[in-house]
Parts: sequence; C-alpha cells; structure tokens
Amino acid sequence: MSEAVWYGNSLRASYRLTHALWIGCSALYLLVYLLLADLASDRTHGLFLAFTILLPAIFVPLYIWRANFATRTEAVIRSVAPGLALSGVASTRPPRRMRMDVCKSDTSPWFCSCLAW
Amino acid sequence: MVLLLLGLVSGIELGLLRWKFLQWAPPPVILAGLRSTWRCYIKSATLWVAGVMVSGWMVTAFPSIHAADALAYAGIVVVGPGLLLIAPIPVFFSVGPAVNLGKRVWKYWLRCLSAAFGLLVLCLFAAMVLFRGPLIILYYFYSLPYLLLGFWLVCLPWALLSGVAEQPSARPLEHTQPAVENTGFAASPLAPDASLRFRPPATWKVLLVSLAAQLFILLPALWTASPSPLGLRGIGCVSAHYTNASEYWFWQAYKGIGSRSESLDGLIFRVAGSPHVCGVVDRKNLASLNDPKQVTVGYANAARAWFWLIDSDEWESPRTKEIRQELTLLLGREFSSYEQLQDWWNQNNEHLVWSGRDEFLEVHEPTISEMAHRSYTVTSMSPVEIIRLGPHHLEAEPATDKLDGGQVSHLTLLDREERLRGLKLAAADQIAILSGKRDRDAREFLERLTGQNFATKLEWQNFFTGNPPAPWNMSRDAAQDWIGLIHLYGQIEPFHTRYVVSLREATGLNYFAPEDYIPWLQNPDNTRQQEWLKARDLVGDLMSTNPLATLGQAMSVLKLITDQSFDSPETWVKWWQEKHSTVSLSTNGRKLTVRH
Repeated sequence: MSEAVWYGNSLRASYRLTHALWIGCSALYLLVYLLLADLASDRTHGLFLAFTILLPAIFVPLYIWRANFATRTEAVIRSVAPGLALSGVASTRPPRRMRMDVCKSDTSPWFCSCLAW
Repeated sequence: MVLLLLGLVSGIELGLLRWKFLQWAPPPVILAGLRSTWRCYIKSATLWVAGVMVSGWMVTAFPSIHAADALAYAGIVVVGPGLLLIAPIPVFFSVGPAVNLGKRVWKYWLRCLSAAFGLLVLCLFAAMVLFRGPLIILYYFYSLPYLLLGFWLVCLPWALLSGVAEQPSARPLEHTQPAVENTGFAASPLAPDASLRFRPPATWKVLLVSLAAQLFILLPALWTASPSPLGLRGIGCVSAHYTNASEYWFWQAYKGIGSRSESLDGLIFRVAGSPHVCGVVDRKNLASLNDPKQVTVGYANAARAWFWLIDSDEWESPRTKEIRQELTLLLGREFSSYEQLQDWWNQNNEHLVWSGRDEFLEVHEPTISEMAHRSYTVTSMSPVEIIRLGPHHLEAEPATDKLDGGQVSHLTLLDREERLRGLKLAAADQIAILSGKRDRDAREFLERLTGQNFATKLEWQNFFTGNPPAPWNMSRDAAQDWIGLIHLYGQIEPFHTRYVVSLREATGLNYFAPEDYIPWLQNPDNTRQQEWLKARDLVGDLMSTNPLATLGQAMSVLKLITDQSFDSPETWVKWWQEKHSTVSLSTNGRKLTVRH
C-alpha cells in the first residue's frame, strides 16, 4: 500500500472513529435520559427528545464529510454550526401559554393539535 | 445544554479532521451554478440557526426565563423569517474577497438591518390587513425600534460567524496528496517530501483527544442534570421540592425512599420507583428530622394517603390487599371490611401517634394537658382527596412537570394511581348529582337530624342561618378543650370566673363552678356541632330552584375529567353504571378513559 493511500485511509479511519465515539456517547446519554425521564405521561414528546440526542451524532458528521472549506477557521465554524443548530430542536416547542392562547381563539383544530404535539 | 456542548466539541474535532483531509485531497469537482448557490445557502442557513440558538441559550441566563420558552420563542419568531431573509444574503450579496474582516462583518450586519426592516414592514402590512384598526398600528410603531433592535442583535452572531468563515486565508490551501487512483480524489502535484509535513494524526491520538473531549462534556452534563442549588448530589433530579422533615417520614411509610444523601447542607431523598423526583430537607428542617412529632405527622399522612387509595368495590383485589398490608403495618391491626376500616379511621385518625418503633402508629387518648392545648395530630389532605375536590388542578400540570408550591401532597399528585382514584371519586360525585342520589341523601340526612321537612333549598338555607342552640353549638374537640382547661386552671382566678361565664353562655346551664359542667361536656349528645356543620354543608348538595344549572355544571365537570361528551344526565348515569369498573387513566394522566 502506497504512503498516499495509507494517509487517506488513516484520516478516514480517524474520522470514523470520532464519528463512532460521538454516536456512542450520545447513545450513553440517551440511555441515561431514558432511565431518568418519566415518559409515561407524555411519551410522544419524551421519545422526540430522546431522538434529538442521537440526531446530531448521526447526521452532522455526514454533513461535515461532504462539506468543503477554504480555511481552517471556516472548517471549525461550519462544522460546529449544525450541531449548535440542532441543539435547539429539543427545546423548540411553543411554550404552553402560547399554545393555550392560540387554541382559545378561532384557530383551526388541526393547527391546535400540531401545537399541542 | 449537553447537546450544545456535544455539537461544539465534536464539531470542532470533526471539522479539523475534515480540514486535514481536504488539505491532503481537494474535492474532485468544483461545484457551480444552482448546486453551488444551494450549498452556499445551506451553509448560511446553518450558521443563522446556530446563531439564533446560541442567542436563545444566552437569554436563559436570566433566571425568570425558562430554556424551553426562550428557544421556543427564538425558534418560532426568529428562525423562520431569518431563513427567508437573512440566510440568502451571502448568496445574493456576497462580499468580495478583498474586503477585510471588520468591514465584511459590518456589511453583513448592515444587510441584516435592511432585511429586518423589510420584515417589519411586511408585518405591518399583515397587521393592517388582519386587524384593520388604527390602535394596532400605533402599538406597532411604538414597539418598532425595540423589535428592530432585538432582531438586529440576534443577527450579530450570524454576521460575525459568516464574516469570519468567509475570510480568505492569508496562505492558500495546500494539497499534499500524491496522485493515486483508488482514493477517489484528484491528484496533487506536490512532491512526496511536502506530504510528510502533513502526516495524519495517529489513531491513538485521535482516540485520546476524542475521549478527552467527551470527558470535557461529561462534567457539565452531570452538572446540568441536577437542579442548580443541589450540586452534584442532585444528579438526575428532574424536579426537586424543598420540604420538611415530616414529608421525609411520609414517603418513608408511603411509597418508600429510594435513596438518600445527607450532608451538612441538608438531605436529598428520592422516592422509590421515581428517581427523578427529589425531596430536599434543608439544614434548618434537618435538625428536627428525628423529632417524634415530625415522624407522627409523616406516618399519619401516609396512613391517610393509603386509606384514601382503597376502593371499597375492590376490597379483595390484589392491589387493595397490598394497600391493606401497608395500613396494617402502620396501624397495627387488620380490618375485615371497608366499613369497619372506615368507622375505625373516622373515630381514631386524629389520635394517631408514632409508637417509637418501626412505622407503627398507635391510638393515643389525649391527656388533660393535650386536650387543653389542642395538640392533636393534624394530617394534610391526601392527593386523592385534593384531586376529588378539584379535578381541574390536573388540567394545569402534566404528570411530569414540576409543581410549584412544594407542599407535602403536591409531589404525590404525580402518582398515576392516586390520579385514577381521585378522578374516579370525582366522577362518582358528579354522577350522584345527575342521578339525584346526592339530593335524596342530603335531604334524608337533614330531615333525620333536624326533624324538619322543608320543600326548597332556600328554606333549608334560612333554617341554618345564624348560631344554633345547644347541643349544636359545641364540637367534641371544643368540649375536650374545656375539660382540659377546667382541670388545669378551673380553680385559679380569673380563669374560674371567666370559664363560668363562657360555659353558661355556651351550654345554657347556670352552674356556679366550672367542674360542674364536666359531666355535661363529657356527654357526646351535648356536643354535636360537627353534625350541624355537616348538615349545613349538605344544604349545598340540595337541588336548587334552577336544577338545570346544577346538572349542567356536573356534566361539564364530567366532560372535563372523562373522554366522553354526553349531553343528557341519563346518558351519563347509564354510561357510569356500565363502565365505572373498566375506566382507567389516560396516557397524559388527566382523564378517565374506558379500557377496551
């Protein structure tokens, strides 16, 4: 095996290793979450939150692997951004007060049920 | 917060690895046209969402703002418009490579302001069309500067990150990989000796750095998993409630204590089976942890909670047998029927005192001093009773949320078994109103007690207005107080004279010595205020002159606590007769549903 191929394979292996570690740690956090959280009363939302723990670990490395960067700074900024963007998904739900206010008005039942979810 | 840190640390690591890979091998095809534009947009949009989320997290530094609220508002109000108006800025108004970093950031930020202004003008038009009132426009212009400034500030992280990310490197990208066929990448013309300067990191080094990075996250993750005042001892406490020593003993005898962690700062305990629900006894209350009075109150509350969990219709069910066993441990005796248990409980529940061993309560006849100073065991309403009286409380809070107030029983409102029992009792109460049973029972009791036979509710209300004569004006507790006081102070002036005056007024007798009143006070037939008060309360259960309003209210409560919506009392009564034994608690813990 030539030196160049070895370089390429080594970088790929390192990348995969980091990816796997991220997934592994996320799975660990997911496990702890499922052990601690009480999902009985709001299972849909609970499972949604659980899913958002694994979501960045799976998809962000795939996104980064396909991205091209011109500088090291750009590589760092653009690689961190998707993870940060997805970190808000877990909490991005309409606050309860807003849901109630909206649903008290003449809003369509479909919209209300979406907000309630 | 864990997701944020994971994204930050792992993103940096993967980005650097990718950067090294790109140095070694450039991408095979230079994208152009629509695909390039789309990629540019995606990059900008990702930065925009990330910037908004970071701003959202920063807002949560203010104690009154909850993380979910801040991010939810950010997500709804800011992310969407920004994806349409801000994210396309680098695509359509790209800043040239010759511009320095400061100017680049400033230009992006300035264009953000234009976009924000455009957005607010659009909102103004929308408001004018939708509301068609001059007042909304006035409010709008009043709040415009604040909205504009707020949106512009949220743009700052995006403008900064975009500017820095697009800043061209002082040194051009160097590719180091020699030409190879099977790598899938284009060849680099550099000499092999140059490639040696860009040796890829050893796998063990990558592993070590990755593990160190994850470890860096672990500590903050553990920290964020515990409510801030509790420190690491509170890891896993999704909700924490400050409470007193008696509640600790309540849980000990009720559902059990799963774990406890005691330090000089206080005691954190977790309820068995619910490790995420934590009770905190602070240092002040911890000093009285082993006070027998605290133990008594805690255990008596537990006995009351168990008592109310028992369903008389399911006396022989396996679960009720388990509850009966718990009660036997607490009360030291078994009961053959629910009626026997109920009679015993009504007679003795105020006189239960911790025996000093195990979780055993014994009936303690009050001493003269205790009678004089009313030192009875006062228990709190059990969660079942609370839910029965106000089933609407469950509408406000889902079963997993933290309940404010920190009272003893509030923690137990999270319990599904108690919710089911409380809601079933509440439903049965409303059905009794609809079937007329409540009215009949109340009328029968009133007539039996008073010997009167009034036709309307108003007449009964008039009858119970004002202070009643003896024996309806003195309660059993008040009589015991008097007996205790007479024994202790009845021979001492000025109490002697004062007692005689008060007792003459209360009893209608004309004795001259306080001790002469004792036989009268000891006779239960002379102290029936409790019955009077019960009767007065029962007048409220009588059907009013407008029975439709009473029935309508009962049906609306039933609609609230069940998944049914009948409109006639007869249908409700029939439904309950057929289904009451098969109802269960809904998944969200707020309604009764019929098991199929």
